[in-house]
Amino acid sequence: MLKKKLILEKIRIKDIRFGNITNIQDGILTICREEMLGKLSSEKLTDVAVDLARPGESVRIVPVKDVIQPRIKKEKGTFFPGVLGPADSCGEGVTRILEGCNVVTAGSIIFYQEGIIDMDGPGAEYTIFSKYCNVVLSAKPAEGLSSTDHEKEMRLLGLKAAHYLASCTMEKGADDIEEYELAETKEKLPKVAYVYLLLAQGLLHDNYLYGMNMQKMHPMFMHPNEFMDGAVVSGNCVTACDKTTTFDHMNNPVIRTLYEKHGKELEFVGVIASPVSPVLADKERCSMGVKNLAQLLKLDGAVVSEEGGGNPESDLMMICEGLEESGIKTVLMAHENCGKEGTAQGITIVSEKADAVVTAGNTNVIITLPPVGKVIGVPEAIEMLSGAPEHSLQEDGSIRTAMSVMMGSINNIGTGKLGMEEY
Amino acid sequence: MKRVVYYLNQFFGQIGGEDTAGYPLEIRKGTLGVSEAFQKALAKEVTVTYTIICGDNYFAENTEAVLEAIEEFLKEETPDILVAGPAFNAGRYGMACGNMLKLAQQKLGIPAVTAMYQENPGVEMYKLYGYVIPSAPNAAGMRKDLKKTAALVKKLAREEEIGPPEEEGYYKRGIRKMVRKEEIGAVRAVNMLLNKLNGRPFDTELPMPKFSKVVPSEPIADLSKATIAVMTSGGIVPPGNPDRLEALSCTKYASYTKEDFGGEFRVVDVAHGGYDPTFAQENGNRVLPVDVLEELEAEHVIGKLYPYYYVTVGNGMAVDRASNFGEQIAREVKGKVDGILLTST
Repeated sequence: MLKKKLILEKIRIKDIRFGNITNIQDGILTICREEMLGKLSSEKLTDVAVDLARPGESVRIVPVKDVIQPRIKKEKGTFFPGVLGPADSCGEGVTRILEGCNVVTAGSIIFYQEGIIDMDGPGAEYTIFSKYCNVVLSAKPAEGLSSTDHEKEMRLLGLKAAHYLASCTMEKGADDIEEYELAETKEKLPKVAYVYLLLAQGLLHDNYLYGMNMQKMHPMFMHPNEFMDGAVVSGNCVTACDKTTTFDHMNNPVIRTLYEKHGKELEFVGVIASPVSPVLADKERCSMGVKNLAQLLKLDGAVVSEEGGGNPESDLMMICEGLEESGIKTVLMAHENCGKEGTAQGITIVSEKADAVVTAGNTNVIITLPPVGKVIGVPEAIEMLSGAPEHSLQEDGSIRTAMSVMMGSINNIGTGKLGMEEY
Repeated sequence: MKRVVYYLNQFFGQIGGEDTAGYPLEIRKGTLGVSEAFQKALAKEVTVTYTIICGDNYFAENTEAVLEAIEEFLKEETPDILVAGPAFNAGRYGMACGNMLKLAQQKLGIPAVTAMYQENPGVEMYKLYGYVIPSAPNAAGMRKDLKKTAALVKKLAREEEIGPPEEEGYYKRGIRKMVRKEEIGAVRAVNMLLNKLNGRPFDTELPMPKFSKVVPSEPIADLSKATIAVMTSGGIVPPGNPDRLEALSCTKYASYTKEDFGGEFRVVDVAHGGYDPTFAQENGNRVLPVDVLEELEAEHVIGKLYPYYYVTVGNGMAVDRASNFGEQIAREVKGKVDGILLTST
């Protein structure tokens, strides 16, 4: 049997600029704005704009919806199977990546808004996306477009833009090449799976697997390479700090770490992906489904990561109980809402079986962001961000806001170094 | 120079022994006994402006009144730091010192320091509110314990950052503090799993919190005579969200009448940022079921629907704030309603 093998060819981008032709030279990505806008045209969106934001610039992007890393299949020139490209293969072959440059979608969709990326200053410390050259897309909905269609169009806009930018890498030599294959382990090592929970809770709270909304899905066993190859696209635009962007799905650090330990300290068998529904019956069914798959795979251990917070804690705890009761050692990944002073209980759903939890931080911590030279997106949205206290805009132009508005600051999948200590 | 107010019981305040434990509250200018020794130790750092003295029994029997009087005085005096004890293993004195910590944090917003022996019940009850330094079981350790107290107060007076409990020598307060770790979360998780799989020791980063249990009220005897209120944590607000309820980590609750929604309760805004709002925006009754309750009222199933709908946003709300809101709302509606229907999202 041939093992699934994915080769990632990375083309490093150190700067971006606009020009007459879209290409890459000496690590500089030049973008022809007109051509790009032409590729992105949609009857459902108006005022589509492209802006650039580089690390170290006095720029704030708000409200951010998604971040997408440009990737493309070398052989076929397609990507995002089931969405932009055909779902005929995923997680094998050669994938080309623009490393160091991301597409960011911004703009207001409904009532409350979310997500700040600061490219410089203290805010930049709280988001990994400040370290990348960002191609920012914003747009307005055509008249009469429903919120649901608006979200869909914005999601597709970002994916199309990422695909467009990745398509100019085809002729370039790769700066780095990585290979991902779950090779046979030589010795008997503990069998470990990653249980990857994906939010599936309605408008602005959904994820898409091969283009399908995950709301009505049952837990499934997947190859880790599928995630690197764009199997999951985020439509989750709610709480900026704890959502898994499309970039994160492609670059999941739990998958990366398990790959690093594979064959050395553990046998990484694969990923159990499961939707997180708001409905209790679905939560019970999916927790059961995860346990059934874990038993079938004869797992010794599992890492389970949450997406979002609040009701997904119940999925986390039910899955933990099911796995631990089956003799499968479990580590959970979550974050906390323990009040701005850290005096409240961090989570509200608990289990005594949950004796090994990694926490990514506290959403309620208050931070101050100084004024910036330029705001890309909708500046007024700053007062409407999910998690921002009332009157976050201060007289001196700075913003007093909560950790929850910073893109990916305390992501449950463990992208950052933030954590909690008990004082 | 930073100003300190010091709290002592009758014994350390040099009033007398157990026979004077009924000594009432007294606020003296300057220092005496323990507070004097403390002042000497920190002569260059702080000024102890007043020493509060109260008999242990008097405090225990008149807690509320004593606390009120002290609060009133402190709000006038506006000290920078409150210091109490050491209370050693004295139970009643420990309670009084602990109460000083709570008062300082909750009513004045200033730091407070005390010292107690590990078995003093005051440690567990009050360590969340301030710094409690481990002390000897009795006054034999006074010199040493006072020195430790002074060292921490010195840092507070200089507005230096107070390090973790192991470093600074106070009991773990149970405060969750965000810090930067050596490794990213994903690496920490996989390493923790490897330790767990191999039977090696590991420390969870999130010990499971504990919650107090709420005892349900008695059932309503006759629903057809009862006034029922409806409340939600689902963020149903009049169009435009006039009170600006925040979408996550909401800092307030509001109460609305039908008139606030334009006389008909249907079209609403959803301030909650944690669920798909499109269905509730079309019809607010889907989250706050006013229509059904009005029907039940008309059918005399319930006596009356309370005209004020209480609303907050439960998304990412810290538990202590939620409890606080619950207590406040209960006070507002107590005696006016017989039952409350709470809906969540």
